[in-house]
Amino acid sequence: MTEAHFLSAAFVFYLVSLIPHAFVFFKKAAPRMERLARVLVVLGLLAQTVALVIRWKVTGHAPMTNMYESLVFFSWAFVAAYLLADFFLKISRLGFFILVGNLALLMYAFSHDATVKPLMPALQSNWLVLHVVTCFFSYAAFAVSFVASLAYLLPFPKKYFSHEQLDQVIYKSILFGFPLLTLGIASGAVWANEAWGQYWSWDPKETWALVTWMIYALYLHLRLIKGWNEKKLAGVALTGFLFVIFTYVGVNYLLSGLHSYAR
Amino acid sequence: MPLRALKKSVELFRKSGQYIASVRLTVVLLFVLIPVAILGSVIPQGREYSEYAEKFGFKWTGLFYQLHLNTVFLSPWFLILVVLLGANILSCLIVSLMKAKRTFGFILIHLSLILLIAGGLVSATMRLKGDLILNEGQTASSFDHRGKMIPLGFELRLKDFELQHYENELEKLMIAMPGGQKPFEFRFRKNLWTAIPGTDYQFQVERFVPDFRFDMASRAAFSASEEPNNPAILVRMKGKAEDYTEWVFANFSDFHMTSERPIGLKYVWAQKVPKAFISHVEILEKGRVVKELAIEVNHPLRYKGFSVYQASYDSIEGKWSGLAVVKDPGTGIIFASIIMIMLGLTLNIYFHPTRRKKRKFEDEAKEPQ
Repeated sequence: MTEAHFLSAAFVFYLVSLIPHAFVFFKKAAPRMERLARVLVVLGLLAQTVALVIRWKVTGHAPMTNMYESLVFFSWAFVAAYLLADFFLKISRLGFFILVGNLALLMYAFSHDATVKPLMPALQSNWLVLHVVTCFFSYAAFAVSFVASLAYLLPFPKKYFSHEQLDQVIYKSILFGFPLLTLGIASGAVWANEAWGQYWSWDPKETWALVTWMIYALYLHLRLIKGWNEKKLAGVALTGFLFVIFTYVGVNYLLSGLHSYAR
Repeated sequence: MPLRALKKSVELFRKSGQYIASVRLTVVLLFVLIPVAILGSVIPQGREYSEYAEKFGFKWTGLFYQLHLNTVFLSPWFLILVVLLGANILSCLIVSLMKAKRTFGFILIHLSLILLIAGGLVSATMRLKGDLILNEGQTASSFDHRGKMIPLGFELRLKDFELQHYENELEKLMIAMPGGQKPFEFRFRKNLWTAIPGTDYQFQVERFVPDFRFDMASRAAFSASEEPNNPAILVRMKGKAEDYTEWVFANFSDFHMTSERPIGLKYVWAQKVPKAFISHVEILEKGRVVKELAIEVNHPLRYKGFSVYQASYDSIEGKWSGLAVVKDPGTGIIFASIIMIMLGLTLNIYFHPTRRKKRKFEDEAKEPQ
């Protein structure tokens, strides 16, 4: 079986899991459905893990070197972050929205060229895995916070979500992702110094990653200031993720720089 | 009157001090720095005046130069903002330590940020960087840094430059022999003789030109650019009775054969993907070779405080190599701050004592009575 088979299987598992997730969303207590939804997501994640391992083996390098590979990896990290958040914060009601987002992410990945291409010299480095894994795990945590902030800001009836719980999901996801983003940026700086002799060159990708970091740093500091209520903070978290998307996708297409290969 | 003025100034000083040591100022500075950084990424940085004028018009270009928007991250006002942020973090840290007991992680994070700014300032003022373009066999003992020659303290000689490509499955030369049924297909390498099976002919590709042009005056072929607009190879055919060279063009892909030259050649071009750029260098001291090594992307040479990086190369002939020589005393400070911030964030976020206590308390509360 090939990578495509396992990826398709993962897609189907995630798709089917929408049914129990919808039940969980509409019905307050549905422990069986909750379990079923979780099992399907775990199966999907396992299938996607195998797909990633196969691609790693076929290409001979970590499957994170172009837009297709990074999108598939981002989707994997997003599901892993959701399962982790669900384990600690019990957010199965958000599962439906997270899975819809993840399916959209996978479909976007499938619209990209999946052919295996040789690795350019700059990417032949051990820093690649640390840099990309930490960046995408932080993006995944921020994606969870984004879904929670969206649920906070949309006028859902109170029976669906507790605002206090959503605020905790937003805060803790950001708290989890922030050190990872810091490590992602820092490892990128060390790598750039190793490859080009300059740890920071204000390349658009670097600049936008720093801007994203500043927004989440702002979020963490705004919590300390009186007058910044949960609703405003959810707005900042939501804006933060829009910057994540621009840093990840927008910069590649709109601003040229050292990360131009990431298309 | 002077006493009142003095009191007023003291009060103003106290209030400014309080403001500088406030999280509110951190928030304000972040709100200012975010659009500034975005501006610096949207407006191309460090380009020529003519480029801005062509792209944005003279009016905007003038404004860019006046406000240093063409070099945002080197501008005095950006520097002031960054220094102010450093002062704000430092004073916030001091005040916060005076007010309450803080975790080790908290102190590390904020100290590392101050160190990060300090490292950046050291790099901005003391970093030395120069480019060396060396032909094979050429030696350099100094480099140009902003018009000033900086001695290396040793000699660097480029022994050999090696440009490696991935095996290209698609690029090939097809040869149709007279009377032959099916043309032969060859994956070729430059300057390597290959025998054509069943014949007394052999061939080698002597030259590749990405954008073929022919100068009628000198009657010589040259490449108009590095873009593969008109890729062509010069093939040398050698048989018992004849020995000739012929240009074969990828864009004119039919077999060309005449009554004088009945062997048909067809060139199928495909983009060559570079695998590695390797500069084999020697370090000489007092005319004696003391070290021999290879410089590659991600594998710089470090010697006597200098780092030498593979920066560019001769993409057509593969004869010269572009090396970047760097000496940056700020790098060590930056790396120290990176270690500190990561340690601080890990301790403060993942192993925060109050958060752990809170969790323990919650767990205890959940336990059945």
